[in-house]
Order: sequence, then C-alpha cells, then structure tokens
Amino acid sequence: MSNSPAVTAPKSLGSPGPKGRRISDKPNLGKPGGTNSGNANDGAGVHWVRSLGWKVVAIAIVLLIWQLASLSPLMDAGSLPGPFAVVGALIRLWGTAVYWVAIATTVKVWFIGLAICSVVGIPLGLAIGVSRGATRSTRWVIDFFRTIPTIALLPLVLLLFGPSISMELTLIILSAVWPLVIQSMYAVGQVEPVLKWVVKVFRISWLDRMRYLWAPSVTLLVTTGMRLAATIALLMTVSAEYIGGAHGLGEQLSHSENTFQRADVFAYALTAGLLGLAINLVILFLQRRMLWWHPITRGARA
Amino acid sequence: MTDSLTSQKPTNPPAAVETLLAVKNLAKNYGKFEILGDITVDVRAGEFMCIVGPSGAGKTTLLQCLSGLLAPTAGNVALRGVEVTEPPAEMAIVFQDYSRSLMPWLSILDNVVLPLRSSKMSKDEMGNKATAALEEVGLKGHLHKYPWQLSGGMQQRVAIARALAFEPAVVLMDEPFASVDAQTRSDLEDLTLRVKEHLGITIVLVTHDIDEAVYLSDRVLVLGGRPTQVVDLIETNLGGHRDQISTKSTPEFAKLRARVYQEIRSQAAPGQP
Repeated sequence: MSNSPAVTAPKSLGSPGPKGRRISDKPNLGKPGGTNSGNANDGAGVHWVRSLGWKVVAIAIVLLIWQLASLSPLMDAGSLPGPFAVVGALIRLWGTAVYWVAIATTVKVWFIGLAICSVVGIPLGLAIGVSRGATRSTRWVIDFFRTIPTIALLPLVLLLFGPSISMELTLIILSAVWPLVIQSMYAVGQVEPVLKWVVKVFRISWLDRMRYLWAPSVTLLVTTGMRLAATIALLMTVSAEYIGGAHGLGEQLSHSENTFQRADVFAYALTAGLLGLAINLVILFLQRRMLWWHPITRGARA
Repeated sequence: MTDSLTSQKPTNPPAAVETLLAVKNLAKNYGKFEILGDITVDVRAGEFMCIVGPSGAGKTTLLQCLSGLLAPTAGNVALRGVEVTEPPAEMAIVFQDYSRSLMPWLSILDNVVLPLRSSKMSKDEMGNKATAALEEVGLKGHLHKYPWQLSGGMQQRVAIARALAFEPAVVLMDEPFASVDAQTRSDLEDLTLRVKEHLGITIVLVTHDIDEAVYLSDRVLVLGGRPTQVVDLIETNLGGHRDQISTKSTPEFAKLRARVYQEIRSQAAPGQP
C-alpha cells in the first residue's frame, strides 16, 4: 500500500498533466495568509453562457451593419456583397478542391514558418534573458528589427526568391520571430527567486532544474509569445501569397479579385479570419492545459 | 562523581560537545554598507539555536552566509570542519515564504521527492522517504494535492517535510512561522520541537519573535549593533519537554524573555553617540 505513491511519484514528476486541476474537495484556504482563491468558480457556468450570449449579439450587430451597408445607396450597386451572398459563395467554395488545397497550403507554410520561429526565437530569447548584459545590449537591435514593417521588405525578398515558399518563410520569420524572442526574454524574469535558492540549497541537478523549475516558469510568457507570433505569421503568409503570388489563400483571394468575383474575395477573407481565430483558440487551449496549476488558469488572485 | 545521584540528569549536554557549524569572524558588506560585523559562534551538534535581533540586523544575510548561498566578505563558515562555499549536502533550508518556496506545478509528494532525485536512491526509496517525511509532519493524507490547495500552515509543513526528507545534519529556518496566524504558529513550533527531538537534527532558526526564540531554543543568539555583532549567547536551560502554556509561564521563561527584550531594545536605539 505504502509502495504505490513511491511508484507513481517520479512518474507524475514528469508529466504535470491536468489531473490535479479540479479541486475535488474543498481546499483548506482560510485566513492564514494564504493565497485566496475566492469563489471565482461559483456560477462559472452561468457566466460562461452569458458571455457567449453577448458575443453572439456582437456578431449579429456586425452582420446587420454589413448587410445595411451593402444595401445602402452610398455603395455602387453590387460592389459590396452582403453577408448572405458571401455565405452563399463560401458554401459553394466548400465544394471545390481549390478552396481546401488553398487552406492546406497556407496552413502548411504557416506551420513551418512558426516552427522555425519557435526553434530560433525561444532559445535565443531565453539565452538573452538569462544575461542582464545581453538583455541591455541587444535592446536597440531588437527594437530596430521588430519595428521594420516586414511587408516593406517584400519586394526585396520577392526579387531574391521569387513567388516561392522560401520567400514566404523569409517574411514570416522576419516578422514573427520577434514577439517570441521578446516574450522569452521576459519569461526568464518570471522564475521565482526563492525557487532559484531552493534548487541551489537542495542541490537539484542541472537537468532537473531545467525540467521542474525553468520549463514551467517560462511557459506562460513563451506561449503568449507563441500566440502573438502565430497571428503575425498567418498575416504574413496570406500577405505574401496575395502580393507575392505564392500558392494559398492569399493567391486565391487575389485571383478572385482579378476576375471580379467579389463574393469569393469576401469568402476567402472570411476564411483567413476564421483560420486566425481557430489558431488562436487552439493555442489558448493548449496554454491553459499546460498552465493548469497557474493562478491565472485557476481563477485565483496570487 | 560516582555518588552524584543528585546530578543524575544534567541539564547541559555532556562535556564533550561536538561543534557542527563553526562561524568564525564572519563579516559581510554590500558595497559600502557593512551588514555583518564580526560574528563568531559555534553551533553544537543536536542543539536548537535561535537567532534574534532587531529588524534590519541582517539575520537573513547571516543565514544565507551559513548556507553558502552568499559568500562572506571576511571570515568563514565550516560544517564539520569543512569550509562552506556552496550549499552543503548536509544542510536544508525552510524559507519564510511558503507560497514561493514550493512549486505549484508539483504535487506535495513530488515537491518533497524532487531534492532526492540527485541521490542514488531508487524511485521506490525516494517515494518512501518523502512519504515518511510528510507523515512526520502530519500530512500523510495530502500527498497528491497541490500546494495551493493547502492552508499556509500546511504549506509550511510541506517545506519542513522537504527539508527533513533531505536528511540533513542541520536545518536552517528563515523566519519560518512569520506568515501564519498565531494558533498555527504555536502548532508549527511544537511540531518543529517534536521533529527535532525525534530525528536528532540540529536546527538554526532565525526569528524576530523573542517569545518564539526563547521557547524553542537551547541557546539564543542575540544580534545587534551596526554593523551587526553578537550581543549575547544565552543558554535557556528550560529543559527537554516544553509546553506552550506551562513553559511560557515559568519564571525562568519570563526572565529570559526580559533579558533578550532589553538587549534588543538597547541595540535598536537609534544612533546614540
């Protein structure tokens, strides 16, 4: 009996999964100076339904304005397709292979770009963040590069690589790597100083310090950097396709525009928007799963 | 000597006391600020020593020097004759701020197991040792909870268990009970006394609470002055078994308490010429 925790202990050390996420029995959080989780969870369901309700209302209002604008005499007849026409076009496009191939191509390039950004940006940011000197001395360089509107480099990059994946990836990396670098730099500062003492005092090995102190401590800001980078990367992917002519959603958008298929233009734009939303939600979901222990996720005020 | 039935139970340990932790002419400056003056004290094996002093006396700085977290400006610290330059394997610390010193992403058990992983123990042994330590502090039923699911007092008990499982010769405690309420505080004091007795470890505890210092200690080290120096080192002689009510109502306790109080107050008086 007493052996079972011994066996499970090192295992659970490795995978801080969401198993302890719900507080099944009331925690003994009283006055004694502890973190007060309050009762943020009470009535969470009602709150969720209400907030969803308001989101639907907001969407409905936007659609209504759109419909009115498309019917208004201010627009040339037929220049702005209404929501019904766009949804019609979208449904029609769902039946075509071109549409799905475009999405797949865009997602593929986006993913490769983001992966490269992560592999380069996260270690670079962490390495800079560890050293105070490096943080200070690289500030101007990083601020300079991240404020360059990458789209301005598109002609140059296009000249170098042509309408290819290399062109797209170059643009994605040049724009999306910075939020990852910057957030990772800040993430290093999130490691609790007392815990840094703890691992020293208890002579915890270098590898264990990485796994059990540094990795969980930097997760919040690194994944936040991921979210920012993911959005920027998608933006750049579609832009590079639209302007640079690489295959994907942007290229289809441009094509529809050139052939005066206005409803299709909107349908593709809408698709890109939904893709961005989906990506954001997925990353947010993963972030919450990884940070199940974090006061932000628990709804507690630390 | 042979007919000494009367002195059957000596209040002091036998003559040959082993020095566990030797602090010699320790000084610590932060730039121009001299924090610790010239501190010399020997911590005996198996004793409970409390360090008290006015706030800002550098008690925590001293503790950090003792543990090798901070290099002294002058002098040295030796554990069993070996100079301390980094945290020694035979030393563990309980930090004041339990909400920061435990890892919220690890369960109670894993928090205690983590320091054991660098040893050559098998996983079963580590788990057993950690479980035993948690049992020692009365947390057997909470192994798989997370620190933020426990009260402050219970979290500090986890920190104590983590230190015990490490099997140190000496445990340093930095104002360990300063952030819990009064009732929890006395519970934790008694727990610490019991555990020390049971496991025969040495404890050096820093506190600003005079009652706590006198109640827990075999010897109280009073610090004061600027830079901080040893003002007094007092044998409490309050005996082995202590009780929150009866020990604290003895005249000896009151005398010791008054003595420490006066010493600290006279030291804390600002800039007398």
